[in-house]
Amino acid sequence: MRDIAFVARHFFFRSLFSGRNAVFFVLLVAVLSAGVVSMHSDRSMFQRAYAQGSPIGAFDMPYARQEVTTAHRFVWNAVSYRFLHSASGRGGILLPMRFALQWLAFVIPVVGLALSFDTVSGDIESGLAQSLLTLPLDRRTLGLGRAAGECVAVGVAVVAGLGGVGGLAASLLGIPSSPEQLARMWAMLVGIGLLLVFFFLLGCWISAWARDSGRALWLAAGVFAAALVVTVLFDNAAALRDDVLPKPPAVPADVGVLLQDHRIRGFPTVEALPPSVQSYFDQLEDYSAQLRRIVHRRYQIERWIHAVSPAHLLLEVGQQLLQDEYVDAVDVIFAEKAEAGEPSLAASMVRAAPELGWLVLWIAAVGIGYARQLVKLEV
Amino acid sequence: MEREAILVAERLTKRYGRAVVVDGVSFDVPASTTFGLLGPNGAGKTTIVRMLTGLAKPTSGRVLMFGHDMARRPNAIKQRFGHVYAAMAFFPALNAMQNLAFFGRFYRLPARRLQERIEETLRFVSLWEERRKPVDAYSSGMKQRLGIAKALVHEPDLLIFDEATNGVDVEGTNDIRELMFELRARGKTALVTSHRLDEIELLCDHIAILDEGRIVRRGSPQSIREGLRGVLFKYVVKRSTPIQEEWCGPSTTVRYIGTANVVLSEEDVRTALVARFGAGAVEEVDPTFEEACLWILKHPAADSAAPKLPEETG
Repeated sequence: MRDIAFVARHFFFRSLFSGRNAVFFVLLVAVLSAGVVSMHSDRSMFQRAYAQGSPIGAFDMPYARQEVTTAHRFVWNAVSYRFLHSASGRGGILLPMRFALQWLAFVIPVVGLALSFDTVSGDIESGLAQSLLTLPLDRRTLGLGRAAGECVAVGVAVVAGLGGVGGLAASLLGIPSSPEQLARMWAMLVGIGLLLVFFFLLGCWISAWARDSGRALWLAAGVFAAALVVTVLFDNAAALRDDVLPKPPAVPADVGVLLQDHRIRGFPTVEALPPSVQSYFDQLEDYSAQLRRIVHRRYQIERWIHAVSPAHLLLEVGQQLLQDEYVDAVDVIFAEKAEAGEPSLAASMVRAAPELGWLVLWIAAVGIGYARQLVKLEV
Repeated sequence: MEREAILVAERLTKRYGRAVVVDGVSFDVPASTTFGLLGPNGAGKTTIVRMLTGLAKPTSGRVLMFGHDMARRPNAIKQRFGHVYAAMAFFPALNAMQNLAFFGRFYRLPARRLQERIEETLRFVSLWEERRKPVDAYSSGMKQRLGIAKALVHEPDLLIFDEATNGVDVEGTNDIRELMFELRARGKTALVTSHRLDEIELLCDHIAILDEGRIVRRGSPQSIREGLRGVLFKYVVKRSTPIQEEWCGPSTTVRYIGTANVVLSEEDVRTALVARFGAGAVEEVDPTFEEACLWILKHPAADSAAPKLPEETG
């Protein structure tokens, strides 16, 4: 254990200020900055749309005035991420991260592989491997200690890049950031770190297997392309389609008036609502429950399918930690419910646990593969 | 008195697919001796060293060092040898002391002792003044000297030099050779591979000549030369014309006497030379070690009787 710690420390300091780590840091800063900009423009657009009752606003009821398919699209928008991103007051500092996460799911695999594809092959080519492998040290200790040190160095870049930009954006743009949101952000960084470790170890494994940096580079590129194909193919693998959604309830005209009016005089109490409106909201509750069941079922199917794609696992973790899952998204249709029911951090962590567990299993699998390859390695 | 062998290679074989790179090689290295493995490129020297140092696994056979089997207790063995190879590599951004501290740390020396050893070894290889320079700024010769320091830092019982002077300029080569001679004088046990025959002859007590993965001759440099007495012979022709001044062995001189595909006894050769150049101009001398080795490599199967001359080409 002392040897692992020593090797890890050595390679940590060696990697921390390396050129590649600096490039990675800049990339992270760029991705999260893009997330901040996206969030800011999206939020402004929503606020304008909401204020003007624009047709692109999701609250632009009633459905009765729309074609059914258009209504479905609004419902889909309501349960989509986009709607949530636009919902003012939800997410705060987590929103730019949510935007960035869609990019990070692709950037992290590239970075992990790019940082590690020549770890072993580069040492073989430079001649350093002969010095390292004739040390009286178990090869697994050497390889895993080194990977640990370099991963921690990259982890520092992740925290500095994402945490730093997040903090800066929060203070400059006045994005709200509660302690719980910050805790969610940290938990998310752990998830990003796990994905990075997975691809880093995968790159090390490829490097040890290929023994030649040129070949390792091509293999790593191939692995990334395969991961990309899997990610794209499995994205929304069990997605909702218009034809599986129930038909929304017919909307009486006075509901539209009421929804438009409540901006001025506030939402009335349930008792104050006309019977037609009450009846409509009852139907809408049923409709919402149906949607919730469908979305939830599809979501559970997707979670299993996404277990084969580590990048998706990160997106799922993000879904739990950075925003509520689909089923809660439906509740946003009802403003008062949305405000009432955000899951606690602990609840989100519990929901994210299966995905985090899968990621850990993936890491263990590639770690074992890498260690076995190192034991077999001949230089 | 027979010295205890601290390194024993038993029927080492290494195959890559169908290619047999090392074929049943056995030898042992007694304590306080220098053992040389020599042979042309591709003879299998480096592959043998890789198996000895644990960098490659033998397809069959085994390596015993200090009484331990490399396959079973590699770390106990690695603790006790130092390895210097061609084009040694280090962490380029670190200086000599930092590099030695990193590598030395794994040999379980107490911190204070390790610092002392780093200074001793850097002084030994004359790099103490350069100790704070990043290794990246070192010449190839300096890196090889640092490699020797790295190999010595943990006070090993055996040193393995694998083509240690390859790719080093003349001055650097001389420095490294001097260090190797100094270590020999101090009684260090060493295994040396090289294709520089003069180096091997001067350094080694025992040698094994390899060809195509097999040992074709073994013994001390002296005994190898003596073993060819009556087989390999050399005449010096004392003439002023440069191209005909030296007549060395049957295989290199056929073109001068214009004979092809004939078996000549020593006397026949002498007769032919005397007839060609005159009796006063022909003198028999001992072949050098280098000439003996070259002859062995060209005739790996021959160990007695007059050699057959190769076909005349010009």
